[in-house]
Amino acid sequence: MRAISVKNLSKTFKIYARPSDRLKEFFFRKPLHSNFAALQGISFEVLRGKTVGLIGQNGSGKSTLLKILGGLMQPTTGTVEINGCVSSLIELGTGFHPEFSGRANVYMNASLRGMPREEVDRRFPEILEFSGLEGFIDRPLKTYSTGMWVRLAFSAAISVDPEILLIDEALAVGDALFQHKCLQRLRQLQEQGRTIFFVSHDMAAVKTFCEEAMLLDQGQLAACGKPDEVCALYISLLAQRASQDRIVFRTVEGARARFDPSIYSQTMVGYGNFDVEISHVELLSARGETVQAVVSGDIGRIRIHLVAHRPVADPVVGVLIRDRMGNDIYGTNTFYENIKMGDWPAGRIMEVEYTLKFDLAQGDYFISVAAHGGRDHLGLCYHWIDVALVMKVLPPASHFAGHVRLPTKIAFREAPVAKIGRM
Amino acid sequence: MVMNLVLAEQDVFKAWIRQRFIQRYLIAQMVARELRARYVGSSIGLFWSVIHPLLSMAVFTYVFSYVLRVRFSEDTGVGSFALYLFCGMLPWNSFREIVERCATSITDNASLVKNLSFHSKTLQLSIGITSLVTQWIGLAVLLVVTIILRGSLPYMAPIVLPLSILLMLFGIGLGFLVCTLHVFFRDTAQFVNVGLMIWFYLTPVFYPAHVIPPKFQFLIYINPLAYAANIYRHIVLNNGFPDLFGLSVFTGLSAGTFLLGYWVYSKNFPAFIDEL
Repeated sequence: MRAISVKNLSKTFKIYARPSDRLKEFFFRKPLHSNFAALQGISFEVLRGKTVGLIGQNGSGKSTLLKILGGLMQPTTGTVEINGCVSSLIELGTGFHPEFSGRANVYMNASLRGMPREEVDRRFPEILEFSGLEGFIDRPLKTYSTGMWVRLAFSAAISVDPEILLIDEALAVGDALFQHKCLQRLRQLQEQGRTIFFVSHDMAAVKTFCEEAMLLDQGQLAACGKPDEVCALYISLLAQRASQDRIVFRTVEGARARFDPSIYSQTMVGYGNFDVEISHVELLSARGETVQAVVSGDIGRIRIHLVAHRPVADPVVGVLIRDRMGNDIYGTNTFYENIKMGDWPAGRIMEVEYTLKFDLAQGDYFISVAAHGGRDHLGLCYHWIDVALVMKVLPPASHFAGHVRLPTKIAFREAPVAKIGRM
Repeated sequence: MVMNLVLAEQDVFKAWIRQRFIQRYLIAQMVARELRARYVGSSIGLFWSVIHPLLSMAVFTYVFSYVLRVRFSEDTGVGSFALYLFCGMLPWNSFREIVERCATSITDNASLVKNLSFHSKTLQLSIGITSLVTQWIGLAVLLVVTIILRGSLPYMAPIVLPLSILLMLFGIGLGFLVCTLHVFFRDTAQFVNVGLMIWFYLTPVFYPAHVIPPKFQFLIYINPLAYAANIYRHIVLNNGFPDLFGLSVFTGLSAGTFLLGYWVYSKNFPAFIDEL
């Protein structure tokens, strides 16, 4: 069952250089505007109950698409079919008035969203509880902090129970605890089989939260597929913009066709101009055995096999370790470590090995690898692999708190005088 | 053909009423908020809307009855001119407020119209109703003062209520037109302000209609607000039933303007969003 079906959708805006041009055009019937194509020939379908992430650079048409899906804007051409009632979380706190109490503003906001009074009455306790603003709800909104304001706005907005929910960048609100609550609420909606369409710049959120992702680029649908693959493509697109270089994209199909998938422990996507190609990546124990896991605090090796397809000058090879949420934990490369590997002629086969002490907390980690020309892969990129390896770190013999163990020495002795500072 | 048009208009009107019925709670909230926002933080609140007309009546009485000694009706009671003037000011002020505020209603609430799929016509309607409420408060003050000054009860006064609603529809209809225009041409609101100022002096508010020279009398016949002022005066001051010609012209103009504004607004609404 399709929740959203979009066929060949385009949206063109008329741009006038001066306001008076519009008047002249109206009276003299002479076109004075230029057209800006915000969306061009977009077609896609979203199945009921799916969560889809929409990513893309600023101005790529994400918000326009969301507004058209929400029925706030009419497409210039093409058709949009929506099955089910839609609620859009495009801007938070619309219609909030600082002089009125939080309660009055929630009621107003809910009725602007088309909720009848009885339903607002019914949902109000839930909204209040979600916002965690029990003590403040009857105070005027102007006395709220920005964070409280946003929490109230989000709570009011998320209280709706739509079949299809459109969200624009609205998740990055409030403190960590509140963000956690928001994600929980969205997960709950997911479990209830709601369709969620989610615009974000936050790759980590898209990867963890969405089942599918779409990439919009300059008003066109550039990719559609698994979130990690589409996100990798997006990052590569940004790199391409930065370097203005010829870049080969490897979509999933491309990657599977070109590489033996068994080499990699995960489906992955690479990009780059492939002057140097990473052919294989492996994790080795200190004794040189191929492993999938290391014990926290042990020495391990990441070995990268490369092939130079064209002659390259002074290439740099790097690794990046990321946690399950996509946060960068540690990364380094031959440039940072001051290692010069010289010029490689075409056809050279290389092996670069990193020996690391894995002082990491227990958990799953992703390893990205890259070969590039400059100091990082955002410049001239030969080959970047987003998830080359999945590595498990096993619990350490002696416990520590946090993500990493820092080299620590502890000394103690009896002190002759008490030193008192400002604490 | 004519029948079809009338039917279509009826359908439009029915649809409009139905939508408004669904949205009645939203409108009620908007009006309540609007009235409260006006006096938020003030200690006597809505009471200001009683004080304002009372004080203006008092100052009109002083200026026109004692300073200028204006007298142009047969009635020579104290404050007669003040009552006459206030009777004309009441519909005019309400009308002016509606049109002026409607003109910028879409652009001022751009974030609402752009981001929420609610019936945006509730904005204009709540402006109209808010102004109607203040007009009725003014009307109540006017009646009390009339009774005190003249010692008689103008029992025809309730007829003013449906008329004030017709006037509101006229204002909203015009408001629909100017706010549509204002989205595309942002000079419209300025133009509206100037236009209303001229319109005010062309309307017999400060002067009676019969002092206008015959060659300009036509201005009275094409001016709905002149009908409104005359009808209000006739009901409140002369305690008479309004003449049917004036009443039907006023009704026709109001309903027609409203439907025209409604149609123009609805037709252009999809294009609004792109311009905000």
